[in-house]
Amino acid sequence: MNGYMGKILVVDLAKKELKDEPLNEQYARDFIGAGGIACRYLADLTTEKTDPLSADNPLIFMAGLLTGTGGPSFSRWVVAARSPYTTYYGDANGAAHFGSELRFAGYDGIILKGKSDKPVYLYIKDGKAELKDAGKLWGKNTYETIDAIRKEYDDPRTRVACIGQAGENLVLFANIMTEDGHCAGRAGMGCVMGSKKLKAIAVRGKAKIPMADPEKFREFARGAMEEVKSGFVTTIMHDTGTCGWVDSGIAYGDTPSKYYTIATMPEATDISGVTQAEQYQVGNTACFGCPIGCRKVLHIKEGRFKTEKPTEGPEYETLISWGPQLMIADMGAINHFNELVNGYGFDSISSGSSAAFAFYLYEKGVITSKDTGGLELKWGDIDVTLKLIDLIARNEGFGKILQEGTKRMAARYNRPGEAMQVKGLEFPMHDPRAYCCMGLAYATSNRGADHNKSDAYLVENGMGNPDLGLNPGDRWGDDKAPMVVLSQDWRSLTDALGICHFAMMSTQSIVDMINASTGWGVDQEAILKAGERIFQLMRAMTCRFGVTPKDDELPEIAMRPIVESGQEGNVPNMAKMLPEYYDIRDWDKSTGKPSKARMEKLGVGALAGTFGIK
Amino acid sequence: MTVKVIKGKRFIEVDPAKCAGCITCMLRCSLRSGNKFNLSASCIRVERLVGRPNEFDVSFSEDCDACLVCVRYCPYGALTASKEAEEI
Repeated sequence: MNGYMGKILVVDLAKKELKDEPLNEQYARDFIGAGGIACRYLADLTTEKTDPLSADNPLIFMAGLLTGTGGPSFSRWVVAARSPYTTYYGDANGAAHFGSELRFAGYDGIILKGKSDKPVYLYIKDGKAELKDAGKLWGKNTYETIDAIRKEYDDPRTRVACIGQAGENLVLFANIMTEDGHCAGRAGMGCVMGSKKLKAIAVRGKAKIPMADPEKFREFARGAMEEVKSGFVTTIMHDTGTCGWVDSGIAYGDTPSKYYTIATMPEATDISGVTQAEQYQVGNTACFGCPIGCRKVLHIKEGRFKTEKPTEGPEYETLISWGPQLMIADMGAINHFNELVNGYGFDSISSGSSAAFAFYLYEKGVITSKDTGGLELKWGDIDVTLKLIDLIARNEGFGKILQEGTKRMAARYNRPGEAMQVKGLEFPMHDPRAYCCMGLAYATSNRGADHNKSDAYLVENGMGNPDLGLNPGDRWGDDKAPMVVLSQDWRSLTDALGICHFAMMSTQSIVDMINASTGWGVDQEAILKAGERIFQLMRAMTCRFGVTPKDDELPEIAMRPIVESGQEGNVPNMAKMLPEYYDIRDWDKSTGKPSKARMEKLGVGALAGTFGIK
Repeated sequence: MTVKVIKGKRFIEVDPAKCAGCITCMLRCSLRSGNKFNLSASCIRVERLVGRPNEFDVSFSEDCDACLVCVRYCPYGALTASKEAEEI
């Protein structure tokens, strides 16, 4: 099967049985790779009754079609399951070297079923897989876990994906970490992994990815590499990293602070990407085959949080979630928070936002120190923040409440409309009042509010795809439905390929590489249709798990204008944009599901019945 | 700290502090020697140091003939060729 390793590892963690199954060729053809194929398998293996923390919830890892093939930044992979955090469809996107090495180890993906009775880890080398005792690893943070496994095999090229203590303690938004602080962050995939007592997956191998025309592939990959290296996005991302968004976001009112109640904290300039590059950065790290190297290595040399040696720095989302959202702009402190959160292994966006919500409620007197176990939640308090991170990781005390997330907290404290989330997943650190397209993107993303399933705000900033017509517009316009739809379809496709969003190459290069790899002979229209097919299947799945049209709404707090700011008092016109979006997507207005006609047009009409679509 | 590989008049210097661990050099090297991407066939080896997650060790096998393909493709300037070097 050209383009794929052609094998899935199926693991029954209860019976400790492992077997190889051929990758379903039709699933690959229709859903391409990574999250697309994972979703298709999940459709077979779940029902609306599947309890996310039960043995019945499968956890699926899947590499992209192009992952590991040597094109620019072709490093990404996906892990998917029913989310215990949102209770809806969940997936998370990872990078570094795990996905590529999984393919070199001989597999396109892993399906994990059941639960182990005791902690185990999965070791896969050159097509052979074993479950091993993880008793000595249980209780370790993610850095210690990765190092311990690599030392055990005395093989520094063993790549590891693992959970920290948060996943072990069933923190609902626990994540899965790999080296260099890369995470498959959102929707609690680490919680599912912890519920299965699976501590880690280690992969190593030498297999080659079979290709229809390897010489043509290399020629196209070389061309794509030149396109990426010469683009301005690469320079910005290399020089300033994702934290470089702060430098422009300040002007646009897009560095949400004090729990989304102010658009920008003035001191944010002290922690921006440019400031980090000037004062703290000592190097970059990169994912497999990536010439961009957006990850920063920082050395904090002074102050309370000075580090003995350089460490990975926080990405933009962590910088803001555990920074200005709490009115903290101390680079040393945030760098330390990042290390803790990554070590414990939980989603920095959901956790930071939940902490900020708690500070917001505390200021309003809705909660007091009686609710917080004696902690006084004063904006900017670094010591209290350190205590909260610790409590979240241990799932204890007030941390037990924070790890439930803002939606459950809003219900608990009777503050409806003030949880900045959609479908139970917290907004990222991009404000729909700064970029109205994001209001629509958050409302309609299948796993909940998410900025990566549609990069609409990046499109508005000139980082879209001119080949497809994804060009900048008026960021406060209300004509965004067609752009958000196209952006979602495009990102569904590139995520299935395993391409990093920062690698800007022509669409033709991507088409050429898909064809040289698989021999399919597809064109741009066909791959975009695949992108839509993937998105609509994920929509059908999230509806299977209980999403209805009322879950496609923004919370009231997202619609409060902030006048004196780079947002200039704008709010997204959801009353216009959402119905237009529904029409383009052909979603039923009462159930929210894609129509049967649309499923048929996408070639998956046969699945309609399984989703109750008539 | 730099590591040199010397073959006749050509040598390669490595600045590990600039290495980002992307292993593009390994991909390019394996391609030249075996006509396929195959990391195990690469003459240049990039390995993340255990316990020091952002630091990499770069070494060369005996098979390296200092063809300088890795130097040409490193996006981070971690590899440089000597002044006397001639590219093949």
